[in-house]
Amino acid sequence: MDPQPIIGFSMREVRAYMERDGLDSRMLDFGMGLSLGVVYGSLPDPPVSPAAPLSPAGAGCAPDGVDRISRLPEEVLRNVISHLPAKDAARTAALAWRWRGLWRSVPLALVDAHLLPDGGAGGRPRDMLGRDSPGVAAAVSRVLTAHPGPFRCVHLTCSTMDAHRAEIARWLELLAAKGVKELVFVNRPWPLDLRLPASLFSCTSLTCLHIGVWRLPDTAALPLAAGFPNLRELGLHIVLMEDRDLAFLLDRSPVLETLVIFFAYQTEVRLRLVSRTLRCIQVCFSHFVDIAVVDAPCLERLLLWVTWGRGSEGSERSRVKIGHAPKLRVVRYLQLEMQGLEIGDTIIKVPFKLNCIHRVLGF
Amino acid sequence: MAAADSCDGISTSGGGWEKTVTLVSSDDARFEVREAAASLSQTVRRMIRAGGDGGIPLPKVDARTLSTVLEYCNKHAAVPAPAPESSSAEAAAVDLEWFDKELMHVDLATLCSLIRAADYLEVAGLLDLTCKTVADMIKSKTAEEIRQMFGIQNDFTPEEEEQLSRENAGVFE
Repeated sequence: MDPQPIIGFSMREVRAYMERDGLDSRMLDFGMGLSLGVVYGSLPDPPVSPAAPLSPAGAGCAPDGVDRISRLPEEVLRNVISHLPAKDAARTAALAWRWRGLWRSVPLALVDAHLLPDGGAGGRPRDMLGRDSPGVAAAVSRVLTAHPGPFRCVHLTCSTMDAHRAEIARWLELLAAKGVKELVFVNRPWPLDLRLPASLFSCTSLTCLHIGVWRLPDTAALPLAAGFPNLRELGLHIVLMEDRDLAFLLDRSPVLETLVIFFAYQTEVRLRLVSRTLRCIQVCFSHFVDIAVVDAPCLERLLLWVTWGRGSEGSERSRVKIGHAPKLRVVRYLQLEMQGLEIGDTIIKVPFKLNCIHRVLGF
Repeated sequence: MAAADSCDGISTSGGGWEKTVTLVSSDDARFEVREAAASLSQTVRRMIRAGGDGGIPLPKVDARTLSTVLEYCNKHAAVPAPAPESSSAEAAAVDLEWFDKELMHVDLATLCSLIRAADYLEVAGLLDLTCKTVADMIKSKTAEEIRQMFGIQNDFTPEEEEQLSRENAGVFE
């Protein structure tokens, strides 16, 4: 199925079209579930979890009644709280006066899946295509308001963002003001092309950003100063984008080291890389007419897993061109054939084998 | 840099020679330990640099606690840095994880002594591990359960407690 027609349509509309054409609409759920499964699997793990593997059985009691824990230095108690999910961290305020304000002075890790009724032990919603949990979005708003920041890590993967547009705008405002470092921001599917609010670009403290199931904001309308001066890792998962918006994003991330792109479904997009700092690029299951590494003096690894070019999958492959990448040592790809690969002045025509690449790169 | 007088040496099984230092606990027990392992403690590292006679005194750590700290340091300093993403790196990580978990099978008083020692000696990995262990004990428990477990005195008035519980419920429930 050509991916283009599903953009801008609701799930119900797409199902109706499929049924009209005699297709089993359940295939849509299956395909989307599969893609989301890969996306959720490729997101970084949250730094805190409700699981407690280190809790020693039977050790948890003070038989002599002496409170040794509260007597530890405040800095140590903050360290303890920094390993707790937000809900557990906030609960420590109710233990005793000594603990009262501590959780507010610890950079918090907020994972919305931990606020689900089942506790979201895996850090992700279990039912990926299931209904929105409106209570979770409201709780996220309250936590982001209640804690003064900074937020060392925020994972928001459980809400259908289309149903919470006003809240999302407020979240991004709060995250920018309270200095978020790592953000995983995944919309629940449908529609696929919800515009990511441009205010994301105000989160200048970000060092790691993964966004999923969004359309990039129209960067032409953004102020020239917008960008991510501290961003080292960027992941785009099922993200729709125009050439210029992707180029803008990369251009405004001057210290980016890792770029991950999963399921870039839109056709006619070119990936043109000019970066003084990029060290690793991974592109998976994506449409790109061209992937051109123009100038990437620090690039060490280029991983391409099933990319294709114009038209529907299988008809044409991405053209890959590697210009100036003197440190490139690993090129891996998973597909039987490519349109062609150019490394410097050397053009490798299909079919070619991986060892050709190794020879050109001199290792 | 002049070699510290507290540094001696031992031969390694591979026939090489490795520098050691002597650490002295608060109850005067002496521990001879490889410098590479002892240097996981930033406090000890600074004292080695400063030099001195007759071993490095650690007046805030008793022998029993120091012996566990050194068990941690010996294990973690022994692990060579294998190539990332290799199978040996993965196996080493699994082995260390298992070791750390076993080391944390202690009672609460010992755990608190270890935290204080790791904090004083500045062994960042051990401080993190012990704090994580306390955090794991706290997870998913009510305030009252946590108080009972650690012997924490509830010094709030009933009104304050009521207000705190309302505030918390207002955010999370």
